[in-house]
Amino acid sequence: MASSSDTHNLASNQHRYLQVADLRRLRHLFFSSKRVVEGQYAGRHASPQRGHSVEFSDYRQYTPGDELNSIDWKVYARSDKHVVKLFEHQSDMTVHLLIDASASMAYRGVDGDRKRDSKFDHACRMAASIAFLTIKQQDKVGLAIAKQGLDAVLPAQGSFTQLNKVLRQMEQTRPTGEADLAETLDGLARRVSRKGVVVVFSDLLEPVDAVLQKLSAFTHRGSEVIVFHVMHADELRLPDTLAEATFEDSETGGRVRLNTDDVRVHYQARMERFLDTWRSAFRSRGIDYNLASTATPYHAVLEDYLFTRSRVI
Amino acid sequence: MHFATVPQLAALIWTAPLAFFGLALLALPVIAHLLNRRAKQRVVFPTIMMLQASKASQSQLFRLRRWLLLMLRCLAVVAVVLAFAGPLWTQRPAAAAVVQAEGASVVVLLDASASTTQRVGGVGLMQTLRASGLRVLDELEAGRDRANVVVVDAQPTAAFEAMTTNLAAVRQQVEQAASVPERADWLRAIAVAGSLLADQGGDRRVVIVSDLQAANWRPALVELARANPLPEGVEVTVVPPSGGATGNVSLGGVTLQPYTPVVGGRGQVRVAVRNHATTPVVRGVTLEVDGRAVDRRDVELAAERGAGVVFDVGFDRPGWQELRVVAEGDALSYDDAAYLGVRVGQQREVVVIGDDPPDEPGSATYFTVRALAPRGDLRDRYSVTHLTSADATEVRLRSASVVVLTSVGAMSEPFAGALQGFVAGGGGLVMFSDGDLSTNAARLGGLMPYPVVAQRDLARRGAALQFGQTLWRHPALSAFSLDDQEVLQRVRFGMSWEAGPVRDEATVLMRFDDGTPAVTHLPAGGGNVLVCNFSPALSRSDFGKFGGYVALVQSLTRFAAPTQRVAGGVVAGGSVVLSPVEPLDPAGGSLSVVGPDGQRVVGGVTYAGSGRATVAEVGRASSAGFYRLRQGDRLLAVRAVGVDGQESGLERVSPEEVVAGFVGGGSVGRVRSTVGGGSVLELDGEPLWGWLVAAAMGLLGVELGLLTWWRR
Repeated sequence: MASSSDTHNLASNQHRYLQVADLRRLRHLFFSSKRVVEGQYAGRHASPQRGHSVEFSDYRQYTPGDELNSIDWKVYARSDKHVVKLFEHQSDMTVHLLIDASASMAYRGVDGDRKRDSKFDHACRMAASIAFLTIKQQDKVGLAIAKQGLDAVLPAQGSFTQLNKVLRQMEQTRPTGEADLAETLDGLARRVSRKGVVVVFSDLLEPVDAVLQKLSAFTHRGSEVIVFHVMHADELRLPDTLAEATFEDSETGGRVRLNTDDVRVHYQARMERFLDTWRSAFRSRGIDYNLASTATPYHAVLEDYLFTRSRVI
Repeated sequence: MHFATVPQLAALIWTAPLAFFGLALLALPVIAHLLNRRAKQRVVFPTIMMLQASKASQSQLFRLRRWLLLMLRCLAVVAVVLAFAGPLWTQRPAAAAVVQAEGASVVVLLDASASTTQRVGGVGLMQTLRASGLRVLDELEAGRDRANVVVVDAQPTAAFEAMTTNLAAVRQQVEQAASVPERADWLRAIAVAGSLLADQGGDRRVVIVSDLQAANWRPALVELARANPLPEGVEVTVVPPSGGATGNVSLGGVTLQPYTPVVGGRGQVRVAVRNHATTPVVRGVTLEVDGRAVDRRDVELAAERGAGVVFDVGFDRPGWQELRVVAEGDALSYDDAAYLGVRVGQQREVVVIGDDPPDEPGSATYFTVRALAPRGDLRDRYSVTHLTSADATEVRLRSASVVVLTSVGAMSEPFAGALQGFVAGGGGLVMFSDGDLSTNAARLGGLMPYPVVAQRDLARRGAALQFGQTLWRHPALSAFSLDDQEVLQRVRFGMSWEAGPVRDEATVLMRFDDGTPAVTHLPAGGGNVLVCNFSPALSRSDFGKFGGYVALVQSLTRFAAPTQRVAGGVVAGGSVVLSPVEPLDPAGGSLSVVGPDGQRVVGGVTYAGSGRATVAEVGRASSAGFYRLRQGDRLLAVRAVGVDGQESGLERVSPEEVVAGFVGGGSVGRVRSTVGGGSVLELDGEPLWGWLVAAAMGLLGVELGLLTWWRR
């Protein structure tokens, strides 16, 4: 468990995406994987590795080479069969945070007020919270930034120093260009060999098939993938304060001139289809999907998700 | 600058073509359009992928709406600029050219009859009519056009002798025009306008500004159909009154019973009240005697119905008394009062007219005067005045209730006319067959119950006639007892007239024994005529010496006397004649006529005759009420002047009907309202600026509506 002095040090560093109020709010939360994970050290999470722990897992037929003291003699006495008793290995968990830092994530609203959080800020606050929870549980957390491919990677480690590194990396990142999420996932998959939890924060303005294909590398390996679909409120229903405007694409630079009132209904229908496409695609592959609107405070999104997740587990 | 240099395109005239430079203002909406395009907000959005897909859902109209708005704004600017350019549309460019060259002559006929005092929507109609007249004059151009105004009342005259270019003076006349309690003589007014325009060149117009009261216009239209007094080619424009006619309650037809009230007696004043409205009303009606209210009635009147109101009044002093009946005020005030001047006497007045000497015993007049006033004092029923036929005028007869003709030579036509007027007004006439009866019968015409054929001198043949068949139960003879009847039937008459067929409406009360009429009654006009086919003169019979003659004359006179007095037929706008009933006081000072306002009438009064035959005539009674003839403080005569009852009906004729009355007579006519921004005269054409401004407002309204709809 993290000591209180570590938490104090973290708080005294005044990170933008993780502040004292957040630490208090997250104190009672717990982040764990729904699936078994592979780890190097004994921990609180179920692991596919069999070991010598107290949690009974299964029996199997004795094969030559097995240690004799692993044979369950009581079973032999009852059934005259040599079986080996297997125990579940409790391992530590590795969480990989992947944050989309494309230009589209920099959107703060029509007026571009810098006092307001951008989509990237919203994603970073959620990611920082998860990183804190993970470190607090003595698990490991790593960070990957998706910006024109895999832009920055922090290998997973389980210390508050790592958390500081993660937070600093987030603060240093400026969302620009395209994300190329598929390429990023591909790169990350090559660097991560063990089962773990991959948490993706993105607005998913990407080709669906390519992203799903790359994510399958993680799911096939047994990793759990969680997606936070970060959208700005303006994207979901178009800004009310705007009648007619020229909209410029943040990534491609393309322009379109229209009246939001005229197209709002049609736009919202298309947006709903867009969200449904991702939602159904992820769910069909066992990937948790969460729509994280900037209109909803990030901690509320996170709390909802973690409470729901705890019920499922 | 005016029309001399004005370009004409077909029938469209631009009075201010310089305003076309204002079309440069079209740049404003174009610039606004361009600025608007640039000024629109630019938003860096995460992705426009879905926006582009949604843009296809915008309708074609939405895509073009910016251009549509630009077009609407440009059209609005064009409409305003064109309005400032003063467009005039005329279907008669040639006429407009005549106006430009020679100017126009416009006569405004401004209705000032009593009905224009009505209030419509809280505003006096006369005020509205004046405003319409001024509006017409405003369309004239000073120095070019000529105008005149005829205020139409009972005696319409032009404000100026000839057409004038002094439009300010004409305006002043219109501003000063006021309603009068008179009828409007439209035919005469139109004739005045015709004479004013007869020698005018250029465009000639008559503008009728009237409440179009049917009672005034219908007779005029009938006459117009026969002969239009306007010169050919004069254009008549009718400006109809704005607002509908309102309801009205009128008073009229005041009568007093008895005809000649006496001191200490009572009378009944009856007044006709009529509701001209389409809804029932309740009105209070008050009787005033000499300005003092003596009685009041609340009258319930059904829609468009009339009722009679009766007041009982006592007369306690002799002399003239002024009876005034007043109704509660309504939309038309002039007809809310009715007037009746009454002379209360000690006795009933009888005038005996005979050319034979009244003091010569044996003459018909001698016997008759004494039969009517045997004692010659106030104990007699009648106060008898003797006149010769030369002195007997209509005015002298006015105070009498009965006139008795004893022996009159060939009567003059004025005298015959005076008698006919007296009987028509309700007076009684008793006529004996003496004098030049054949001539007189011809003069009197309708007053005779039968034609007179020839005089029969029976005495010469030693024969005589006696009364035969008699209607003793008739009211004229019912006072005779059987003894009296026997006495009468013993009288012998040596002379009578052979009579022709008796008229159907006449009743022979007494016949001679040969069957010829002796006493015949004929109702004529409002009065009674009793013709006696005999004479009391000794040269004709001894009847004058009989006491039965006294009884018969008194009985016939009582029957002939009218039962009620009707308010005189003098209405405002007409002449009023006043004559003293009693002798003038030689030392009483000069005569004067005092009007209804209590002020002495100075102008328009003429005095004729002398002594008791003095006649004062007010040429034109400008107000309704009582006109009084005074000698010093002594009141000699009172005459009531009312408002023509036809002014009370507020029914209107349509302006089209009035116009149609002129069109048949060579005039051009049309109806134009002063309500709204249109021209009345359209001398130079129909101004279109109002329409263009309205179009501009409409276009801007459409633009605002579209913007609101699109932003909803």
